[in-house]
Amino acid sequence: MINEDDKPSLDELLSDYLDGQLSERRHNEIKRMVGHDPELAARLDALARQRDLLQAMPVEKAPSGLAQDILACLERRFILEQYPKITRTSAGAKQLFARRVVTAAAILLPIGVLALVLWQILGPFPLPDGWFGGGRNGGQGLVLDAPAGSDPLPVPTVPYARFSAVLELQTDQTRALRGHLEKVIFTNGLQELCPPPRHEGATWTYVIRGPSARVGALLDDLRDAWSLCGGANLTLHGPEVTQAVRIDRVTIGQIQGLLAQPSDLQRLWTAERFARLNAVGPVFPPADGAVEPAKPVLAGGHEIRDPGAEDQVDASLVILLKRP
Amino acid sequence: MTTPVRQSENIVLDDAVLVERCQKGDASAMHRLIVRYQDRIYNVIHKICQNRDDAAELTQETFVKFIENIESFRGHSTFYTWLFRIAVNLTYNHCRRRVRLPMQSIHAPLRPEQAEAAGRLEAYLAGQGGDDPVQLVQDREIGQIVLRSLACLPDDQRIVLVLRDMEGMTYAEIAEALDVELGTVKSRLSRARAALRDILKSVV
Repeated sequence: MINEDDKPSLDELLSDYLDGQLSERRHNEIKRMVGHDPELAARLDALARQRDLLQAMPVEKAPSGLAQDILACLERRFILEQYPKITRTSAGAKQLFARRVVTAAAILLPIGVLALVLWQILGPFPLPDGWFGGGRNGGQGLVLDAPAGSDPLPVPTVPYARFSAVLELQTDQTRALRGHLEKVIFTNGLQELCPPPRHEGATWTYVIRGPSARVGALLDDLRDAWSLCGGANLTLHGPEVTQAVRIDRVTIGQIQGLLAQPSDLQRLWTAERFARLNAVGPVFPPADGAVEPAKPVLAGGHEIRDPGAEDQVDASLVILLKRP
Repeated sequence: MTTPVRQSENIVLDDAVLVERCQKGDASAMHRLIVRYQDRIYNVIHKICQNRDDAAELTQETFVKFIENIESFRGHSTFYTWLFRIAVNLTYNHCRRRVRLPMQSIHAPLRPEQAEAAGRLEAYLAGQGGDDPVQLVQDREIGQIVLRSLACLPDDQRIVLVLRDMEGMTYAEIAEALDVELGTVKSRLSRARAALRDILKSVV
């Protein structure tokens, strides 16, 4: 009889016996037991029949064309591996990123254009050439409130100094004005720094270079001769060639105010204000006590000059005497 | 006692040569290995997962993985067991994701032709019928009963039983293919046979 407690191990032994997995001694032992126990023999026979049944089960054939499908699948994967970045995920991420960039650009571009327009209208300086439609003067530089159709801006033929400007004086009394100008050049001790005047056609050109203080004093001395001029305009140049502001009907006080500015930026900013102010109404020729804009007082303290600054050649003024 | 039909011993050498050629990128060698093993792999997978479409897909995936990883095959085991290890792993993972066949479905009332087939099967298993098992399983109904009974086994037992009694692998090959101890194979196999016997008894 079979002990039920031994069933698991007996099943395993019978299974191993069936498959020839037992040692010779064990095999003979089971063989003897089966020979003496009809119940055990029946169990072994049932196991054998079950195994034979499974072995006899028909073999399923693989679908036709499987080999071709496998090779095609491999080919697809190989192709995909050649372009690892063009996976659905990464391609989607790239498209999403591109869409975000385009959207951001679409939002920022009108804002930028609007900001440029506002800057052009309200800002202290128009934008440099090329920033916004090539500038108002067709690329010649920064010109504010210059009359339409006016002559091109004069450019100083001397190296740029801290103050660099071209003063055009229209006068039909050239001789008297020349005499006065040469006198004040001499009295302010600038004759050694200034080359002889040049004469071309109806224009006399004086290049005056020297310390700001002396140039300022020269301008002071010119007040007396200002009444000889029919008109005056000043073109102030910045450190860049394209930076220039033209002030029509400029006054001596305005020029001195510009001369006193401590930086290029502030000088250009002030010049732009003068240009706008003068464009509003006639200021020139100023009588004594005429409207003179106050000299700008800059926030941030007083200008600190070194002891030798008084003699530093930092101003360049080209004066053009022209017959109207 | 019947010894399982073995085919693998006769082709080991050929396999080694073909695998070596595969590793050098010989497409014809790959094709020959696929053609050589596709039916056996498909049959084993089908018996385990019991779905033709799944079996076809898993077979394809098995060979794709074989080719993709052929470079890493070092010959520590035979190509045959290595290939079956891939197939069994894929199938086992597939089975784990799938809802198992409920046990009670096999005990649904039988149609007359099924009842007749069950009677013949019962007689055969009890040793009362003289049917040749090969002829017996030609009966579609009997084949279906056997397969459905097999499907009721736990996955690990079903896999061992299919590899041993249907594919004819040795215990050592099964242990290698499943990456388990030999003793585990023996115990799983005996439990699988006993469980299938009980299931078949309850069905027929």
